[in-house]
Amino acid sequence: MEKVVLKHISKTFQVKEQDVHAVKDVSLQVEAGDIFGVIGFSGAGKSTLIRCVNLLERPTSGEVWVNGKNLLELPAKSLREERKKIGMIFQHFNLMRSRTVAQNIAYPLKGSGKSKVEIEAKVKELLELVELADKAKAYPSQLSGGQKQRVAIARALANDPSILLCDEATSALDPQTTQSILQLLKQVNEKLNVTIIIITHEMAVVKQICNRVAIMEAGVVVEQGNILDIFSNPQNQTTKNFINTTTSINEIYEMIEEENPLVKLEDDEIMLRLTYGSSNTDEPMMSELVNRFNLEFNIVFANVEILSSTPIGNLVVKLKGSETDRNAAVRYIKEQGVKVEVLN
Amino acid sequence: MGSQISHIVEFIIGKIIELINNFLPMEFMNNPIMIRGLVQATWETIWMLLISGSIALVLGLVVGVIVTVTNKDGLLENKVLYFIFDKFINFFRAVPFVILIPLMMGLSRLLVGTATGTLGMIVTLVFGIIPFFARQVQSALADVDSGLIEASISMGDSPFQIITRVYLRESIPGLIRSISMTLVSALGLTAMAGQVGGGGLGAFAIRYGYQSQEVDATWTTVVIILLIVVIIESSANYFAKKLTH
Repeated sequence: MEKVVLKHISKTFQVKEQDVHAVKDVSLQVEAGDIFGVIGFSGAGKSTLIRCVNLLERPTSGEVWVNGKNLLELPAKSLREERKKIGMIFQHFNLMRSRTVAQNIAYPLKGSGKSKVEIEAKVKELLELVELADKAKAYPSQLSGGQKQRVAIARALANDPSILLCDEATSALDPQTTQSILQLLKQVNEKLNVTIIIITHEMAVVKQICNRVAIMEAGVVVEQGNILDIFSNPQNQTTKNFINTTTSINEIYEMIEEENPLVKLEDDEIMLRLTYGSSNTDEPMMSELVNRFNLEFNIVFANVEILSSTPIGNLVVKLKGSETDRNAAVRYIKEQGVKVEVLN
Repeated sequence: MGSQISHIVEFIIGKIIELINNFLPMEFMNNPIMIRGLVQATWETIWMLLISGSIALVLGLVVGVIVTVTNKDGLLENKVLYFIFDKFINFFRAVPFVILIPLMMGLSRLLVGTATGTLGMIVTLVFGIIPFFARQVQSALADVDSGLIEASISMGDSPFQIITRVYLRESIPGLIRSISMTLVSALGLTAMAGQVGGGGLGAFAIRYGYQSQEVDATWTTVVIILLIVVIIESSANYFAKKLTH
């Protein structure tokens, strides 16, 4: 079932009488249960795009369907009711400084018709979910960044939303805290069945928890799809750049340029970059290679990522042997569905 | 109730005068008419400040909120309302208070039946204080992080809820400081209002200190005014600090 459908969304801002096209004709579909990542460099329009989902920004054109309702056609009051079903967390947490942690979490529950006892119980439950039960009476200024984001997550979940929007939610946090927030989001997705949309400029975030991803550049979605497909077979250059930020494999190219002795080849050697897809990582390909052909091989670089419980590998190997054997080996590797790039 | 407070005020002023007299022997201390006049003047000043202050603070808060939310990119952007209220503030801030006094005579007669005396001065004072406080409110509300507004919209709050639960609630420490500054500045206005029949310490200082050249009388009013300012500012600081987290 589609949770969020964006149809041909465009958003134009007027800055000093000039039109700035922040988002250009973007269409997306987010299915129930997805953790959908939208990645792009700053200024790519991804923050504007996520703000169109709950109409913090009204798109200049296009349609926004959430939970089967066309939000742009709703009157103000119904729109506010729909917004209560869409939680949102922010880069700078946006907690109320004058309220305690418990009061911040209870904030969206006021006027919901819930009794004081029910609200207290809900706050307690949420505090336990985000593991901050001992901080109920603390003020936001007494919390660390990670704790603040946990409070913000609890607040966003107070009305039991089915969708959670995360706008650069981990960008102000250190790597370790980012990990724990991402784990919490994954838990929210799995246990509470909340569909999550994440805006980020960090590929590591997408890699860790998203099952689907859209890559944005200059207001346009340049590529989108299943995370395994995108990682194992990226089409667009921006996508490739983002993927390269999460691995050090690009250093190989620099080493070749610099004629580093490590990547220097003998006459009977070739160097290959192999990218394992999702379907072929179980095969014992390397040992097969040695058994079938009269070759020696040497691993220069290896990296295996686990994406949605499926490993994706990147290998740089040197093969030593006769030209016939080498060519046969390359053919064999390709037959296994592994992407091969000859590096010299 | 009023007479009780005035008894307390009388007692306190008596003590202060006694204190000053220890350092600086004053002849007018021996004149019971003068003392009674001083007590009455202090009472009038406090009364003018409290009545006009509380009316103006409420109205100024409303005006301050209106200019904040109707401003460009505000919560309820409205060019016409913004223009009207912004110009209202600018106009009344531009007119010097001594000119505001004759200007407000007609309105004062209409609203409270008189343009003179302590009561007559209330209307003029209110119009003198509102624009000052409204601008203070506007700047206090501008300090509220726009991210909080965005968060509360995302949680389904109505504009009215955002005003009360975010703008006003989150800027309480700033608003308390604004109130304190406004009251101190209003105290200056009450002294001027005193010249045209409002009474109070300003009128007392002019009559005895200036016209009769009783230096002691002048210094006593200075000390009392300073005391009022200290009370306003220190209690504001106390509460602002206590409510800042």
